[in-house]
Amino acid sequence: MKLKNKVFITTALGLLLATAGTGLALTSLASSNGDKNQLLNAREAARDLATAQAPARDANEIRKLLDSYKYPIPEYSPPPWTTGLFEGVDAPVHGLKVTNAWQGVLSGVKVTAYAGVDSEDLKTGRIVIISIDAPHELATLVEGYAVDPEALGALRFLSSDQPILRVARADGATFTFDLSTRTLTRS
Amino acid sequence: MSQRREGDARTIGGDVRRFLLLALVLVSAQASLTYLATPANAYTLGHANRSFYVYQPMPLAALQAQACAVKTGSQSTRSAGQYVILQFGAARAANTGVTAASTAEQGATGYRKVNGSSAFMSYQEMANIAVNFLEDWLTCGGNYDRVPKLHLIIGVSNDIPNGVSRANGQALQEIIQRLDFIGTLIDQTVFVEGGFDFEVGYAPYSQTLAEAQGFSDAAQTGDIYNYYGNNGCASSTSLPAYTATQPCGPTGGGYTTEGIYTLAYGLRAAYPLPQVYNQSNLTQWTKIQQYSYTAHGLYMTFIASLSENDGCENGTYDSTCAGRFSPDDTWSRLSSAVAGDPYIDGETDIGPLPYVAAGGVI
Repeated sequence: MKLKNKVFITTALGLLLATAGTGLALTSLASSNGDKNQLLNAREAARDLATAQAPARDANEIRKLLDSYKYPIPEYSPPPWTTGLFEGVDAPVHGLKVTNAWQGVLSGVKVTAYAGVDSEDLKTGRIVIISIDAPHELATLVEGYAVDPEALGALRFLSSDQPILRVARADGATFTFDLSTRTLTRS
Repeated sequence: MSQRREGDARTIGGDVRRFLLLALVLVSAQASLTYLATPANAYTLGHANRSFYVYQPMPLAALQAQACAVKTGSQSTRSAGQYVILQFGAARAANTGVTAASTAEQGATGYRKVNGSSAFMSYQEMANIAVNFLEDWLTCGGNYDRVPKLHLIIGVSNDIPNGVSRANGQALQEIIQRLDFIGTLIDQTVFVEGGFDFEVGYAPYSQTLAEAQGFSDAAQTGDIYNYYGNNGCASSTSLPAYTATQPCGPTGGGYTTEGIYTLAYGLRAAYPLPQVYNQSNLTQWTKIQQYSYTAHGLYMTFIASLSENDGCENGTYDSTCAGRFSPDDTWSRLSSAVAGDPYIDGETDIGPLPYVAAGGVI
């Protein structure tokens, strides 16, 4: 056996034992009562050391390595754009529990309006309008919103006569929502 | 899982230097266990880190710009870690009934629009976005420079009733372990963790717990997930201390004080990165921490604090925007309010990932 190989095997064996020792120590900590916070401290301390010892790497080398770890995924093709009311949907926004949605074109911009209720205050009805990025028809931006000040339950779109949407609240009250002005009016 | 490990091992074998460096770090970690005797101290606060709601497909230039801003911003001079959450949508399977922990069939809504709704995005797709972020962060400015450690958190929510499951949690764990391995392999300053925006107004407790248990049970020692949802518990400071069975959140959700404790800290891999957007959130998390001590004998340790300043500035629709704390306020108020040795390594502020029209699409 070449000396180089012997050195590598010996080194690797030693490092494996050291690694196992570290794992056992952390496992021991994890299993003992009350040491959960210490486990976190130990992990972060190890990471601080690792950070301090990190060697410089070439950017091209990093790119090459990371690219090799990407999953091969086919390019996504969005389905055709359709308009109207949609049930059973969820919104690409935080803080809104959706009842239903309306989708259409407003002043040349593709938009989706979501009716529902604030997810952290299930009495406050809300409507959120999202615009759709034209080139990709996928990326979204929040365009505007409306809040029911009476806070008596979730909102739902009933029908559309653009730019006016008819809206119902959980307690039976009805409203109109003007997509252009983003105003919610009791009808 | 075993195939992945074999593949990774071959990669290590192909680059002895990289393997030796990784192992040396572990040796150092073993030596550092003496650190356990010393309580951790919160670091001096710098500027806010950024976290993002991820829209997909996102022009590559947008992600690159943000990764570079995180790395080269003044916050990078801090000694504490940088916390960046890439927040995707609701955890769910590609098709109803998928129970296997497949990283191709499990994923999240991904904030990708399809006819009024967000489309499914697999964990494999999300992993590729994370790899892109890591690539941009590590190579920003040309050649690599040493920077403080990065905690990259891949987050999903419990937004869809009946849409979260144990299998989904297991699949997310597999992706996180793979990404964390890649990060450590390539650069020892990068660490990838799981994240859950568990909101009590979304899926009921039983399903949310299944998701969390799936992730936590599959975790290796030292793996963590960060809980940063709204815990929904009573927020009045004048009320007495929480009791175990006290309801949190809407009626019928099944959340209690003990349930929130379990999700945030009770499970093996769980640590809170609390959403402290305003005074109500601060009171809720302070009282949950008190409960953790009285009921379980241990003060809950917080990873970092989460604010939503940018989210409120760019797309205001959240009730928590009223009376919101600034990122600095969030960190300092939480640090002052909680008891014991709260850790609180850093802070991060979440908002939409800014859209730019130029560049390719991820």
